[in-house]
Amino acid sequence: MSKASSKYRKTALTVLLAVLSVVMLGALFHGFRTFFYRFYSDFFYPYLSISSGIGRTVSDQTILLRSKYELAKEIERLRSDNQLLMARFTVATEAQLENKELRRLLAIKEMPGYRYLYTTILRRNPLEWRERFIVNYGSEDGIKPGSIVLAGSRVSENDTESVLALCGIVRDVSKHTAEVLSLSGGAATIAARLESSDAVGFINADTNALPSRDQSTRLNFLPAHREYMVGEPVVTAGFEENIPAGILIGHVTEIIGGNTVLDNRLYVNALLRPAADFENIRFLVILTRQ
Amino acid sequence: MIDIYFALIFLTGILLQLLAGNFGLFLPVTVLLIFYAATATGLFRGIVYSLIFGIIIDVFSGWGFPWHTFACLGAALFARFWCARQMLRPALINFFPGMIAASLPLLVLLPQTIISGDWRFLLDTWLPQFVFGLIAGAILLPVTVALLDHISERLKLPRYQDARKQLEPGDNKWHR
Repeated sequence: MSKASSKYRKTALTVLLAVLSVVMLGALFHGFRTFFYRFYSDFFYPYLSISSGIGRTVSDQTILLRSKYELAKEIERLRSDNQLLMARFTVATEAQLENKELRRLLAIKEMPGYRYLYTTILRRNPLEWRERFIVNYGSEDGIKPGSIVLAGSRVSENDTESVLALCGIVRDVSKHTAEVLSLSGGAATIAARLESSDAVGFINADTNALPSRDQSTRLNFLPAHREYMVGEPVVTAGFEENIPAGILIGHVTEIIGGNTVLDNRLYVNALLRPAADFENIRFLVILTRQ
Repeated sequence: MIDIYFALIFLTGILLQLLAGNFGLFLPVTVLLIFYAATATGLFRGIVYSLIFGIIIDVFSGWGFPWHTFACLGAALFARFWCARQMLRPALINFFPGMIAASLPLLVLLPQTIISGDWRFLLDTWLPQFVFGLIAGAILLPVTVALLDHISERLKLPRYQDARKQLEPGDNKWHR
């Protein structure tokens, strides 16, 4: 009997120790996650960049499978796009200089500009493919938490070209890498404005909402008693310090009733289809405040 | 020597897993290597390797909770169970434990996914990766055993296929 009870005591003690170890390991990992992320990302950066380098080399080789005629046509198209963008950029620079001068004359505080960084994805978790990814630039390159990330939009039958659309927000930054939360993951919260109806709402503000079936993103706290159109473009409102106004986010697909605590017929929610092509993200532009 | 050898093996395996991840494939290389190492070198080393390299892969994957670490610990315990009860030769017979070990990293995510009610993730992402992981594990473990045992024989290190010989009936040793 004493042998059996001793065996039961040993088993119970082993189980208790195992459970405590699991809880402690989870708590320590969660508590030190930021430290672990920065340390391992910086220390192992040359090792980690090997996998993205190999992936990039393989992807680049697929370009060589295309015919010379196709490649020449693509180069011509890119040249003409480049020249159009250069012309627009020249006009925009003139407007910016004029704005700066007017602010100086009127003694209004100058708005700091943005730096544009062109980068690629370093690591992507297949189980969080649309929710989060790691990019190849970090604090050494000027990236800060809260910086926005832009990617090429989906090109549909109605579009003639891809435009840059909001893809996500930088959450955590190490020396050489930055973790980006994408819009479709539900964790990135941004103020958004509907261009046609001029209403302001907040993307992913309802943290209790379940992810939608078709990867739409939620736009919460839109004013009720207004007319909204399906297909209406949604852009950034510019309320956040690091996010300029007017950047395309997506298009409204559905207006749904409110399901928040504040549902007193004051607000409605909407579903919007993000413009960024999360499945085929490769090249990104990160904006940081100067 | 043995720890340095396995550290290099694990770092290569983690690199392969990250490379496959960048292409959208969940290749459970780390957990299969933990299974191999725990069988060849013993449960104690298997647990230590699980903690070190499981945390590394969790951090690189960006998880907020060490799911992979627990899966690796489970693989180390399963290796002890498999070693004590089953044949380890020939290498091809190890497709079955390969499937079980490869399924562990995704099975640890299943309770949380079901509780949260995220059926989109379950059907769109989890299920295809789970099926792919089973097939990959079934193929990769016999290949890994054949390859690493060949290298271990040259380096005079413990082999996976000889692990059963070192285990006496009723053996409760944690390490060799």
